Amino acid sequence: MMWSERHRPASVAGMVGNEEARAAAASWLAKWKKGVKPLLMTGPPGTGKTTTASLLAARYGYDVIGLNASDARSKSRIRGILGPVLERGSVTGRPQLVFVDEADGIHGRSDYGGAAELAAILKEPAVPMILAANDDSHDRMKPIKKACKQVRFMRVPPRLMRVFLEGVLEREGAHLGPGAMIRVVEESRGDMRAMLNLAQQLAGGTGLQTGAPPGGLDVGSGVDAFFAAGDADGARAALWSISADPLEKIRAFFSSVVMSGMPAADLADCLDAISRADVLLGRIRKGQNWRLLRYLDSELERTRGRKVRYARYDLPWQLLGRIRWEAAKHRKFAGREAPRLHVSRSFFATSCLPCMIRCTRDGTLEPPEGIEELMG
Amino acid sequence: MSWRRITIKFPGSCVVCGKEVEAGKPGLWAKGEGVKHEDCVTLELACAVCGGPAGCPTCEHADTCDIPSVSQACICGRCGESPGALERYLEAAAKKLPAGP
Repeated sequence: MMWSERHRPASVAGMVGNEEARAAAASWLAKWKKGVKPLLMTGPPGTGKTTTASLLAARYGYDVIGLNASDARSKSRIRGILGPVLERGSVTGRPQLVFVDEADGIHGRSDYGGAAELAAILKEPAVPMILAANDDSHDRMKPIKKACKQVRFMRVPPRLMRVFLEGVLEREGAHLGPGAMIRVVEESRGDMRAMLNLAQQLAGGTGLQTGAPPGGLDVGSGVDAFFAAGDADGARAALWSISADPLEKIRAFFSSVVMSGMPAADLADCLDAISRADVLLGRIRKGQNWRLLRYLDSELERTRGRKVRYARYDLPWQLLGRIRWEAAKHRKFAGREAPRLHVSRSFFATSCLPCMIRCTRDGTLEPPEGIEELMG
Repeated sequence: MSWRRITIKFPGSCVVCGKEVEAGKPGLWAKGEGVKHEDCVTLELACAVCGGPAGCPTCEHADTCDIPSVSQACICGRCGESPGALERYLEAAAKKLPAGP
């Protein structure tokens, strides 16, 4: 199990850092009644916003209705999820609390109308509402900030993080040298979750000795470590430790899987997982929703459990040479014929040329000059 | 209320030194508290356990810790090195929370 899960605080009193912010949030919920402004918690990741919300809800006996970045938060969806709660006050018989995580990320096509709907709900909430956001400086946060009581969470001081980490290492029976401890704390920059993940990786707490340097594993070592991991936690730690661009990570998995020679059914599963990761990355880049990057590893995890070693997808040089030569012939032909059809070379090559070759073979088209070379 | 580092919008008086805080310059602001110069910030956190200064100038993380941007209670060297440091911190921090239901 990941240390960040095993050592998650069981109560608000068990958390580290942001003492005043936690106290303010607790006081808000303890005194909540209809008409009280919603609570907006802002601050960097890993400082305890989500944990505080869920622990406070448990402390005061609320069930949590949550919306986070992985949900589509359009106007219709927000109404569909929150409507029954706001009308009746509860859908389970117990008092309910609405928690909107990553409220600063409600934008884009899939969240169309969501921000305006949320701002309207915030004006007169019928149940306690807590919102969490990393960044409150954007203009779209203005109506939300205006409607809410704001509590700021800040990075946890390094020495305090170290005291907590020493406690975790003692409970785990693990050890880090003084230099490694300082490096873990300082590289985490006040993010408790990042500190525990990095410490687990360096201490080999999952039984997987990645030997990762402080900056992470290169993509080849990371892929090898992932497929060699004995359990899901080790695989997850290896994935997390790969310090590479997400596209490079996906390409490394693709080439390694393709070159592995695994059975067709396994190959299909793996390629499906990699394809889904690639589609997700495309959507992240298109919408600039970088917070969804954390879910990329979840897709790649589905390839686990096969015998794969890192390999770059290299064709034999004879085949590579032939492909290049053929491509040059195609380019030359397309460069000559595409302007005659008033289409781009790309369109000509993908849509027109196959038809042209077929018609030439059928005898329904007079062969253009040079097409015989392309017909093999 | 936590002090926030902002670009000062309106000129005001620093709550520490009393001198003018110019508009358009970086400074620190807290709701209900006022404004102060960045240089007037008391560069030391408080120890959540003993209540004394946390010893920031001599802290092993002094080079990397940005004091205005971290939560304003830490643990001093003596309390941090003593046995049961984490438990003592948690006990002290829990006193700030309102009583549960």
